Parts: sequence; structure tokens; C-alpha cells
Amino acid sequence: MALFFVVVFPSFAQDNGDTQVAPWKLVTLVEDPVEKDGEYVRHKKDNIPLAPGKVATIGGGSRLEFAGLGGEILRVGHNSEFSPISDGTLEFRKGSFLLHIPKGGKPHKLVSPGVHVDLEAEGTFLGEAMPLGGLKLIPLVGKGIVKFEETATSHGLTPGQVEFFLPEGKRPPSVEVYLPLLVASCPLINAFEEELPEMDKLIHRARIQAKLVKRRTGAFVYDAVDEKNVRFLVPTAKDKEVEAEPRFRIPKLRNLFKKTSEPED
Amino acid sequence: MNTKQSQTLLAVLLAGGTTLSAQNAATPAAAATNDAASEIGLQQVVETHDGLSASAGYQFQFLYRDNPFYVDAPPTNAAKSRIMVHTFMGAVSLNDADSNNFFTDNTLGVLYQQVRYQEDLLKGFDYDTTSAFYKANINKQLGEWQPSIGIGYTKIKIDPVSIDVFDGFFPYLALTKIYPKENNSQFIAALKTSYGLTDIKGTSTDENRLDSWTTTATVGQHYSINSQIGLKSNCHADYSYFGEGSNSGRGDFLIGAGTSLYYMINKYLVADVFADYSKRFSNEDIYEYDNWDAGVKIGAMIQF
Repeated sequence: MALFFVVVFPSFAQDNGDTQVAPWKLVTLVEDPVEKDGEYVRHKKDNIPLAPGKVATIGGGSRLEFAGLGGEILRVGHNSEFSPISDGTLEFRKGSFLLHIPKGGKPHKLVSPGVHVDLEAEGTFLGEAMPLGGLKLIPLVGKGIVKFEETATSHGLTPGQVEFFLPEGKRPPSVEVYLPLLVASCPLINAFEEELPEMDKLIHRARIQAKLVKRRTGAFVYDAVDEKNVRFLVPTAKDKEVEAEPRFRIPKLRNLFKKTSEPED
Repeated sequence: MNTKQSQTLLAVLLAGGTTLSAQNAATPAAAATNDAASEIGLQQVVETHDGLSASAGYQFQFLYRDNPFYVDAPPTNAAKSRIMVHTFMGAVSLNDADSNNFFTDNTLGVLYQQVRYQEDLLKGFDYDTTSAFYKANINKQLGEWQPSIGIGYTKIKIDPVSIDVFDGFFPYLALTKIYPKENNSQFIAALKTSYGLTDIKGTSTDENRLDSWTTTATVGQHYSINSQIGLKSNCHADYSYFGEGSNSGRGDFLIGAGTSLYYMINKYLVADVFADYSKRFSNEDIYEYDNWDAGVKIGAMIQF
């Protein structure tokens, strides 16, 4: 059974119904495996339009993939609420997403609780509407800038650097994360049947980063709460075995882990 | 890793004894409910170098070689030898992260090797090898195979008389496939074809008779017993065709296999016990041979 549904929230921008060209069309639904270690259940959808102002609410066991008019790909994760306010404006009330913008693609405005940013870039980006407000953005491949409307400032994007945008214009420091582990453990990359258009570049970028790693810390990024505080999850030594070598789904990516030493404390 | 596994991982990290940094931590309850965090993958904090990276190393080998001169007749005991090999190596990688470049993972390296026979009768044959290489990956995978190109240069000098006897350039094309690691075991397969442009010194004619096309298929396995001890094994088959001078029309088929039990003493030092066997067939009988090598080696490597 599909675990998602599309509803209209009255508080959203004007609902233009079917008279306006839908900027995003639902192409795939992926459900979590029914059994432990089972396979994802994937359903192709017939380009179901999501009109501006409508909201896609995704349940706890599902993910959706939308195709944009300009060749964009948008994947939305568990427990998310996504609405295309207009053609180039995407609102994420909660949850997570992956956005691929092809070369020459138009800018996109990303809206999450308390934050608006303009993404003038091409490439593939992960994002999360953080639980306490604000947006977490992780460039995977590509280039461009992001404009933070609250402060009218622009910031370059570097693959593997986690950027935080908080309400009231707050900008915590960015943090570099280990791309091989991120990519291998990310369902928004791995759970879908269709490989991302820039997967080769992403693997290449992850391999290069793996060669350049001086130290893998024991800390995992969680979120950011203000300009100076990024919160991390820090497992203890007894959990190292779990942390070090999880099993991965993408064969190509498994090989990346032999390039570097084990995480250090 | 599917989502449930990553959720499980996150839950395990948060449950069994996980501690969070005192000043800068999410509460476990908050993290456990943040499904979005696991949807975009585990974000482990790293520190990285910028740009160039370099490595340098030294390896000492002490081995027994059954047939040091690779001759077709069974070697006499006098011809068998213990050998000491000193190898110094260095490499620089550009680590070009630009995914738009056609060539990536550009690496330059040099290697200097001294081979010293430990039998008095053979000391006149001690030799030194100087090598340099360039390699790069082609930024386009062929299925699961990674193509690469490169060129190597090798010069051999007889040590006691300090005379160069051979040099050659070896451009190559290669395809490599690294199989997923399963049960502490990982396989790698490679196909490589190269052309040797060689020069035998001290002769005015027939100096390029060792020019040849060589195509090699290799399968290797790395089995980790634990984080410090493992077994590396490989086998290969090579075909070489010679088209120049007195060797014109010669075709050699070489097969080989080897295994090595290693022990990582620390981050920089590794010790091995190894054994290798090779056998060459040829359409010209005098080039056939078989040989055993067995010995120990200890190596040190540092990365900058």
C-alpha cells in the first residue's frame, strides 16, 4: 500500500488547481522493504502532476521522486512535507530531500521553516529542514552559489561541506563530512532504481576526498542551533564496530572504504 | 545500506552506551525522532588535506630465488641464490577533484631498486633499476571497469661496473575492476596492454629486439584476518609478442601466482612472508623457464 498522500494545506500559496502547468510530476514511489534485509518496493508513477500550492506529505516508509520541467530531479524522504509554491520555489516544511539541477538549470528558491535561500547552481544537493528550524544543505557534486535572503549574502558551495542556514540570518560554521559514508548510507541516493545523472562524478568526488582525508573523527553532524553551535552525535568506543564498516548496497561504493584508515577518536 | 539499516545504525549509536558531547549535543530522543537525518546519510566529520599529496617508502626483501637467470635448463645449485633487495620509492598525486577533467587521479612516481646477490659467484651480476611512471584514470567508467592510462620508464645498470645495459619506455592502457568486499575478502581484476620501446645498450644492431606488445590479465585477492594480519594472493597470465630484430616472431606466454601473509606492525610498517612462482612458455624453447621466489620483506611508508 502506498504510504503517501497529497493534500492541500489552506495556509499555502494560492492553489491554482489544474489550470496551471504543474512544475513537478511524481514519477516514482519507493517503499521500505517489508522484511529486514529485504528489497525496496518501487512503483513507477505516470507523471502525476503536483500543482503549485499543493503539498506532498510523505509517510514514514516511503520516498517520492519528482521530475521537474527543466530536467530537475527531486527526491523527498521519509516524514517530509514538500510543496512547489511556484515553478522555481520549493517549500520543505519538514523532512529531507535530494535536488539535482542539470547544467544550465534555472535558480531555485528553497524555503524551510524560517529560512529562504536562492540556489543558483548546477549539480546535486542534499537538504534537510532541521527540527528546530532552518535548512541544512550538503552539495554532493556541482558548483554555484547560494544566496541567503535574510542577510543578502552569497556563499560558494563545496561538495562535502555541510552548510547551515538558520532563522534570523544566523550562519553556523560549515562542516566537512566524509562523502563515501554519506553517499553509501543515503537512501535518497541508493533506494531508487534510476541512478542519479551525476553518479560517476559523485563517486569520483568521494574517492578523491577519501584520499585526502587526514582524520575521520568519531562525530556525526546532527543539526545547528545558533551561529556558534553545531550539534554532533558522538558514539562511544564500544560502538566503533558498528560505526566503522556498515554494509552497503552500492557495490561501487564499497571499495571506497579501503582507501583510508579507520576512524580515529 | 538500506534505510532501515541506517536507522538501526543510528539507533544503535544512540542507544547502547552512546555518549554525546556535553556542550554540543542533540538529545538522544530528539535524534531518534529525526528521520530526516538518516534519510540524507551519515555525516561523519572529517579533516582533509588540500591539493597535492605525496608518499615515500622503503622496502627491504630477503629472498631465495630458484632460477636467478631465468634459464630454460634446470639451474645448478651454484646458480641458485639468496638475494637482498632494497627498494626506495616516492609518489605525488595531484588529487584533482574537478569532475570535468578527462584524466583524473594523476600520479607521478619514482622507484630505485638495488638487487644484491648473496652468493660470491654471482656478485658480478648485481644490478640497480631506476624507474619512473605516470598514471591517470580516465574519467569514464566502462560498466564497472575503471580505465586508466600511463607510461613507465625503466633503466637497468650493472652495479659492479656501473654500466647501463637497458632502458625502455612502456606506455599502457588498463582496465581495473574492484569487487565488493565480502566476508573480509576482496577481489580485484585487471587487464592491461602495453608496448615496450626498448634499447639494449652497447650494441649497434638489434638493440630494440626486446620491443614487444604485452597483454596481461590479473586476478588478486585480499583477505583480512583481522585489522593487522591478512593474506594477499594473485595470479596472472601474460602474452608478449616480439616484432623486432632477432626476436621477430617470438611469442611468450607467462603465467604466475603468488601469495603473501602480511602483518601491519603499525601505521607505517608492514612485514610480509611471501612466495611466488612463475613459468614462461615460448615458441622459441630457449626462452622458457620456471622459477620460485620465497622470502620475507619489511616495508615502511609515510604519506604527507
